[in-house]
This record gives sequence, C-alpha cells and structure tokens, in this order.
Amino acid sequence: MLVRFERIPMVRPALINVAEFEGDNGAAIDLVERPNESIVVVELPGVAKEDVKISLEGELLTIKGERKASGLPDGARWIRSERSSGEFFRTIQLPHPVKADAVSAEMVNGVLRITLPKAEEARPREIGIK
Amino acid sequence: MNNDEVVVRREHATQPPVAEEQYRVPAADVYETSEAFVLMLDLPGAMRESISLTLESGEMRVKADVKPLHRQEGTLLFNEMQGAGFFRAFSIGDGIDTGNVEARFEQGVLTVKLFKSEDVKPREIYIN
Repeated sequence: MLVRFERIPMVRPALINVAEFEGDNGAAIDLVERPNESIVVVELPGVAKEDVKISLEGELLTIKGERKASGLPDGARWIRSERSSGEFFRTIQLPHPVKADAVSAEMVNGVLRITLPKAEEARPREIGIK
Repeated sequence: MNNDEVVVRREHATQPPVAEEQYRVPAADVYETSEAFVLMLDLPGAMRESISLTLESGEMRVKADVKPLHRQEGTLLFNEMQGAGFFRAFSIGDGIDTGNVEARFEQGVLTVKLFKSEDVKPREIYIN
C-alpha cells in the first residue's frame, strides 16, 4: 500500500510557539511515604504562600487557595493566555494517621512541600522476641 | 542585578534537547505592549540555575530541568508530576531586539521581556 505524506506548510509569524501546550494546568501532586512520615508535594507556580491553606481532617489532607491572575498592563493585549488562575482545591487521602501538631510545610520555587509525621501507632516498630 | 534574574545566553549550534518528549510543555501567557512582548511560563520546581533561555536563529528556547528529589526519599504512592522538566520553543519575528531581553524567575514562574526593535515601536511624530 502506498502511503502519501503531506507536507504541512509552516507559518511563522512573530512569537508563535512551536510545541502546543496540552492543557494540564492543575496543581499536580506527588505523595511519598517514608517509614516515619509522608511527604506531599504540590506544584503551585505563581502562588504566594499567603494564598495557600492546608488543612487536615483525620487522614484527609486538603490544599486550597487562590492563584491570582497576572494582570494585563494598560494598553497591552493578550496574545496567549494558558496559565490558569482563580481558586484551586485538592484533597488527598493519606496512607496513615498523622501527628497533626507536627505537620510542616514550605514553598520553594512554586512547589509546596508538606511533611506529615505519622501518628505513633502508625510508625514501624521492632518487636523484641522474648 | 538581583538574585531572581536569569541570564540570557546566546548559543550557537545548540543540539535539540535529548529526549524532548520527556519534557512537559509549560503553560504560557504572552502579552504585547507598545515596547515589548512579555512571556510568563510556569516552571514549578525549577531552580534559577537549572533554566536555560536561549535566543538563536529566530527561535527562543526555554528549557528547565527539574529534579524531583522527593521521589527518591521513599515509596511513591501518588504520582502526577511527569517528566524531566519543561521545554518550549517560540519563534521570534524580526521585530524583536534580541540584544535587549530581560528575564526573572519568581515563585516558579519565568517572566521574559523581549523588547521590540526601535523601528517597529509605535512612535508619535511631532508636527511643526
């Protein structure tokens, strides 16, 4: 069978992007479990740490907040607007109960990192053999 | 120059990034003012030193390597962050002064300001 290849004409006006953004714009989450704690990592580019609220209810961790829209200066016009703004809300089921008063969080380069120490009863312990 | 500024490098004959498909295309906002084009790209988890911004033969390339070190710290139970980082290329028209580019990186967002060449800026002509 003959396959015909068609050449797609390339149009290159000022500032067009070559690869298309595929629209995955939500706060992506990773969860890593360690022996004594879990670490939740959330991508929140452009979000100020004052605009993030973290809450814990049992083993449900909720991260919510707002990403403020970057305003358009007077007289400017949008060419492309893909970055999302507005409120975000994510809940994740943790794999163990948490020592709630020992949870800590930090935000570096648009990534939120929450460290959730396990509750005593969820920590691994070695059983001595009598 | 403050700490958040990214150095704009001009490189020649750069190879396309290895395994480009491992890189995510970052979301971008672009707006135009009378004096410049301004791009904002979401590069969460990148560090200023891990971002390369190059202008070369009519193309601007942004590449940011992200090392998700947390993944090696334990067992990954929930995994949404993909790829080795971010890569995106923009083609740049003639109206841009490639010698006049500003860039800074704050809160995981790279902002690049590409100033227009003098001859394409709107200008007002004074009438005698």
